Amino acid sequence: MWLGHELRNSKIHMACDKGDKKGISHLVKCLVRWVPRRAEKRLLDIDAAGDTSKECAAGIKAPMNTLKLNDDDNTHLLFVGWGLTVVVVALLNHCANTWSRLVSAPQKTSM
Amino acid sequence: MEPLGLCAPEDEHVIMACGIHCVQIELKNAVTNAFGEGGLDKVNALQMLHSMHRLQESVTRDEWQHILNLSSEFAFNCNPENIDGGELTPAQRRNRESFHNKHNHVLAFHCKFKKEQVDPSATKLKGTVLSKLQQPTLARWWTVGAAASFFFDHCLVIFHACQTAIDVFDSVQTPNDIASDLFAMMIDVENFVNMVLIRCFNKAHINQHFDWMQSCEDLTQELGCQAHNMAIRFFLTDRDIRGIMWGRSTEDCHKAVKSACKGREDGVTEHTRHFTKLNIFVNEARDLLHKHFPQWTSPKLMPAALSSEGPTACVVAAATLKRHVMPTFAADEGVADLMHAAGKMEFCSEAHKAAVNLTAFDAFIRRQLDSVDGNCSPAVIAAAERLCAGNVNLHETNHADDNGALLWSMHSTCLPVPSILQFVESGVKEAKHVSATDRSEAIQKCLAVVGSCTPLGKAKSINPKLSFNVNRILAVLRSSEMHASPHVQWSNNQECTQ
Repeated sequence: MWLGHELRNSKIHMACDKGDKKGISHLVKCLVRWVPRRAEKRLLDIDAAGDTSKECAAGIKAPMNTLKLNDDDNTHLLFVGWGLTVVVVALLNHCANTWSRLVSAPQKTSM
Repeated sequence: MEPLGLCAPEDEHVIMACGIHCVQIELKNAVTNAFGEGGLDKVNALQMLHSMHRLQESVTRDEWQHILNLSSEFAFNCNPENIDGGELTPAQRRNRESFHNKHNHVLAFHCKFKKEQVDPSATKLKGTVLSKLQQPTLARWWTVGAAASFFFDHCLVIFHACQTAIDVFDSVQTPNDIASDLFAMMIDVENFVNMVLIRCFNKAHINQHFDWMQSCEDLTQELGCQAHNMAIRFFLTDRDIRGIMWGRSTEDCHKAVKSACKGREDGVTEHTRHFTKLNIFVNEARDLLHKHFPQWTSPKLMPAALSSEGPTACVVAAATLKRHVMPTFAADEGVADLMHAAGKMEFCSEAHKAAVNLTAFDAFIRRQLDSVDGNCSPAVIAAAERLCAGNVNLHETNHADDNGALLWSMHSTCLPVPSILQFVESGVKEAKHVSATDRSEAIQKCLAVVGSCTPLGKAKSINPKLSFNVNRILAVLRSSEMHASPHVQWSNNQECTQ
């Protein structure tokens, strides 16, 4: 939740890599954004995902939903293609309003 | 992703593959297409490297070190001219002579084999034959190159170690089986020449670009976020791969080929065959480079290069604007004008730690831009125009002046684009550490996420007068407080509104 709040009004970039360290399968999702004078990285999620492109896309959708106020809000649009390893760029401009609402007049049921 | 409603409009997003993986796949394609893939039923250079790793893994560490100790002693003291028969039986003498003949055959492969006697009591094993070798996998970073270098350096020791393993272990035991295969593969000069080619290619090409990608923090202060330098790196990589067949970079390979062809009746034909193989190897690598790296010179990612160092950024800006001549540079920009002497302008790049031939770079960038469709956005064109006019320097991070909005727009769009994904793996490592304590998947994830934003590095960021450990603890406390306080505030807000 804090990450979603922090990323409001930012252009964020996502780096994904599928790893399988000693039998532990993970699709690691990292977010990167520009803060004054430097780039800043944040680990979003390391949950496992299937091997197909479709399953990987679903694996990205789930953690991106955790950044949003409500699941499937049109607030965090990913700009994505898929390959063995990909870097994804996302813009979070649209989430500003929803996050402002949450911080100023929060609703306990949404938290 | 599109059916899931996760994508934004096509003209706003960029997609690219990891730079390190691209370089790695260069090697993979070149090796596979020139020599074939490895496999238990295969006899080639790659399988030879795998067998060496398997042999090392098939015996205990102590056994392996003892074998290598004896083998290094043999390699150090061996005199091919004088074989000590001692009190051997005729059969033993025959076997020993047979081994020495094969050993001399391998010894003639190259003149640069290491013949150092190892110190079994040494604690520092790195660089010695006792160091543990990682499994050479083509898709795993530098492992194949490291294995090839190790094999080349300690070829004679490994050869003797194979014979020792064959002698010590029964024929039904795995080490004997592997050592027999490896021994047979090592005698074949073809495998050796191919292995040397892999080593040369790694040393001359792969290693330096890996090193740069893993160490450069130019402008962004973060490893792996070098999108603005990737177009220049593409140019440097292309230049390197063009020159790899000549000069000193493949000297060892040429020597190995020369030794392999020496004394053969079909020497000239063999030499031509090896040279053709080298050609195929390099061409495969270059084809792959030009398949994956042009993403960095596409209209969507080329704007990132406008934030590179001054002279290279100017060249990119002029090419983006399709100006007919390349820009000129003042003497204080670090550009050496060698047009009259050598027909080039040279810039010593601090970010790349290499000299960039700006004239060739200009031609290269224009070729790349001509080969792709699409135009840059109006904002990029405006930035390029201001850059060409000398009104802005995008290689600085001061957003406070008149160009602040432009700088912020360009930087926030282009600079955080990850150029490599190695840092992403740290997340997997965090998960692996956590999983060692048998925690559930959800807890593993939480701890990995928390760990990733916790300042655990070695820095005296809080108080330089205090020790590293104290600084680290204080930084962790401060970070925890910073992350927790908004939640406390939100919780309080909720209670107030209820």
